[in-house]
Amino acid sequence: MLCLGLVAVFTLLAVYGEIVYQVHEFRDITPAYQKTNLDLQFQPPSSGHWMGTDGLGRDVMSRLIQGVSIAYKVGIITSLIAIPIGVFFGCIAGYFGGKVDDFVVWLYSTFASMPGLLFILAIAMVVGKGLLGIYLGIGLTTWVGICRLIRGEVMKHKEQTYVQAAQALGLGSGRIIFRHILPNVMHVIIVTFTLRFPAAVGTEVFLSFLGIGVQDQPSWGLMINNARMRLWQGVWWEMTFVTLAVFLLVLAFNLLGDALRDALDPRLND
Amino acid sequence: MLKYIVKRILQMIPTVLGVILLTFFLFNVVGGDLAAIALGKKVSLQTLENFDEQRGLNKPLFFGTRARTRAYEDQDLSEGAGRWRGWTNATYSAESGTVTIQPGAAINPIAFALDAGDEFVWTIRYRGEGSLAGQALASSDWKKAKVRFSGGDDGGFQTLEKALEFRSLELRMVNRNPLDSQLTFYLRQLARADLGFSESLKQPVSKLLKDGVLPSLSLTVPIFIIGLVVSISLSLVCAYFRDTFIDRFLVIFSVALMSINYLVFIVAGQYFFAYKLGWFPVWGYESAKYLFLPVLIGVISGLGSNIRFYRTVMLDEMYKDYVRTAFAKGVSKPRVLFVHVLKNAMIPIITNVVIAIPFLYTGSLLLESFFGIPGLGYLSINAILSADIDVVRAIVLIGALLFVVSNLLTDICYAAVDPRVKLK
Amino acid sequence: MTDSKSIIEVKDLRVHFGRGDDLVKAVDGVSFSILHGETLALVGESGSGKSISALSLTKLAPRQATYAGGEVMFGGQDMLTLPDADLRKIRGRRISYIFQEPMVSFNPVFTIGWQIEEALTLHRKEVDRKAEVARLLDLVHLPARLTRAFPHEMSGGQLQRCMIAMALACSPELLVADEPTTALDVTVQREILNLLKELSEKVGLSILMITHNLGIVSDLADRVCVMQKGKIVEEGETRQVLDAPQHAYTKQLMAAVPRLRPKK
Repeated sequence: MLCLGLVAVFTLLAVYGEIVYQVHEFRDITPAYQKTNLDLQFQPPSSGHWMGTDGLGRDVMSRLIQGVSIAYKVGIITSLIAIPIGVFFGCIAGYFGGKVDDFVVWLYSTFASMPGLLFILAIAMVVGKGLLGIYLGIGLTTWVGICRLIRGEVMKHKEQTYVQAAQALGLGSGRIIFRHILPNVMHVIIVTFTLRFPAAVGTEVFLSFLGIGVQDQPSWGLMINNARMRLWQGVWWEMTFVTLAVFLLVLAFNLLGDALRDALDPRLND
Repeated sequence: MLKYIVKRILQMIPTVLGVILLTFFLFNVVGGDLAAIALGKKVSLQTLENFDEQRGLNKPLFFGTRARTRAYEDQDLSEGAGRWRGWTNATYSAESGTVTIQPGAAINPIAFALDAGDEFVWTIRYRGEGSLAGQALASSDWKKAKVRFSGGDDGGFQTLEKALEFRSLELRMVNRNPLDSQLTFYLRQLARADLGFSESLKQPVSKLLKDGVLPSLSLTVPIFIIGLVVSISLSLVCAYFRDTFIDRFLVIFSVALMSINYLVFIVAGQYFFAYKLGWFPVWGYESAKYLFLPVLIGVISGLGSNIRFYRTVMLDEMYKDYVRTAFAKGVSKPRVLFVHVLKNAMIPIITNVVIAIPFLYTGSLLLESFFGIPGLGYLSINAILSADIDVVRAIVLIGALLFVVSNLLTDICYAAVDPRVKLK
Repeated sequence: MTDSKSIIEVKDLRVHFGRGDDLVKAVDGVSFSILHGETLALVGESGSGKSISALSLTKLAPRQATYAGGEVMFGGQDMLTLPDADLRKIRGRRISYIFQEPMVSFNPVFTIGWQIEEALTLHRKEVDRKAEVARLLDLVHLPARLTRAFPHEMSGGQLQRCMIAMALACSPELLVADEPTTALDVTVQREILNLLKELSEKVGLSILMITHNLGIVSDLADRVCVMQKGKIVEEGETRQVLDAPQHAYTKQLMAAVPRLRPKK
């Protein structure tokens, strides 16, 4: 499928970009994509620079690739924050019900009431500049949706006979949840991850665009910001390629998520 | 119905409390040194302290009788001289991690004048002879002492013939009422509807909010209404022409629209329609004309996900059995869609719609910033960039409270529209 | 009571799903006719094609179905080739349906009265609708106050009666009942079946009864068609088919019926 191919390409680029970054960090050299060369400013696409150069003479394409790895980092780390929290609370709420459920519902209702983007910005502001603020901000707002989904699924599964059978065998709650129910709920988690990924990337684009978060690394938001004013001077290539890249990544993951949802949802197999 | 509303309101209260606690937690507990974040590093300690005082930040967090003060901040002498560097009569020794006040010295390490009405306590681990805040200290061995004094007194050191050495020194303010904490300060502020004071704009926050509401609404309300009408209409079209070319095209169009980052709409919109084609003004808030472009962009960017959602809702309904019964009765397809299906589809649609209401208030952060609409979104962004704590906290809090209220409205709408909802 | 005039004739009906390798011949050359005042039962297991056959009479089969051949002659016209507008005039007016699960077959956000009235508004505009709805409810032995009730406020049995009332609103010639009692409790089943029998005799209604329950067949049906895998394998008078089944499949069906008394 087309989107799988796209995702694969992006993933490879992300890994490549990360390797380049790490290698340069390790050897303490300035990587090629950061080297400014004012002579080469604003070059339109050519054979030397497939996507042209930006305002500081840097090659757009290699910066774009770095952007992929940054986007991936954001998507993965925020998910690593949001998913465990959401799954944990969703499971205990769905399984134990009663006061535990009341507490979890109260907790996520409170978080859900916070005005989205603003809350993330506030967290980033309070935690300080840099990636940590962004990761925490996005992670701490996304866990709510996951928690709701998982809670619903666990509640449905709890009524099923296989759970009653496990309970009759005397298995402890923890074991039942994590070894028996969780695998059945896994498809929801996978689909959610796939669909949350582009949302996290999109949010990070906003944030770095606004000047919060990564400043020295070429994240896509930053590139769009840089390219914005120059668009009016006729420099079209930087903006176009970056927005195209964002669009393709988001589209690919959205399609993949939809396809996974259709494929993995046991209910739809009728 | 009234009982239902009252019951729902009561259920709202824990969430409201939760929201207040969460904002408190975020800004006061996690926040760290808010004064430094807001004012920067170059201002005097007195200014920072004033900032704290105004916001009750120099109190204990939840409960307690002692509070820190910037007049003398905690120093870990084992790590370095800290503030004790460069005093003529006090020498720092790195090997022992102590400071020695030389004989015949009078040194006051307190950074600024203390409030005469307050009481303070020094906690000192010392060796030698001298006096601190008027209390005599003498011991040949390391001893710990607490010295209490009033803010109007001289709180410094004095030595005569002997030297006084100390290895730890802490200053705390006495908090007479242990319940007077940051939390209660915040709660009292809220009870007075005092939303704080903006450092960067030098105005009370409530005034700023009042000024910003109208511009925000003039943007978000048209976007909301037009967007709603257009997306529901298009989703009805999708449902009617289910699985035909039109439907498939609209779905692909929606997915594509959804994938385009919001920023691109704004940037491209500004570029093409304002700059290149000159149809609309680029920036500003002079007249209604200035709103056209941002409203257009707002509507189009939201279309994608809305159409998909409404379409799913419609189609889910169309697969239900009552639709087959309607057809079997001889009802025509348009009537099935617009009368039978639509009313059922309204239920999830209403939830979606009412939940969007708080966003009408917080305004579109990005649209306002880029088009220079002086609404609440614009205010928020500037507040974030200039670390204007009070403004950010106020907008977050109010946004959250509005959300809770709109949830209440959703439940009421549900009960009014869906006969299956039990009003117990 | 039967009359020698047949009101509907189905000839070699074929309804398919899917294409190519996935082609499923749900109804594969089915022919039957129903006489005036007669109750015909279509019997078979799940998947035999009986429901699809019944739905196809007015092209109500699911969207994915293709009407691949045959004719459905009703009132001198072939239903399968009629334009939509004409088909809609027949649905609900001359051929009515009642379905298996009354709880979900009604629109949950409208009152029963509204939904029954709709049938009248569509086909019998000239009538005093409110009075007619009350009369119809009375016909199925339900109090008139239920006009203002919503589907979720009523029991399965009550709803099924309402569905019958709605189906009879325009005095149709043929009532198609697609497993109308399967989702109901046993005692309620009895009541509904009795009601159908009563109405059929009272107004001379022809009924096409879809069921897998041979007990219902023996109770209600004048004639029965046994279906297997899209084809009719046996048909005839009820007594005949049940007492002396000819086809192997029919014999299997009969043998599978649990008996309260030991077989002699």
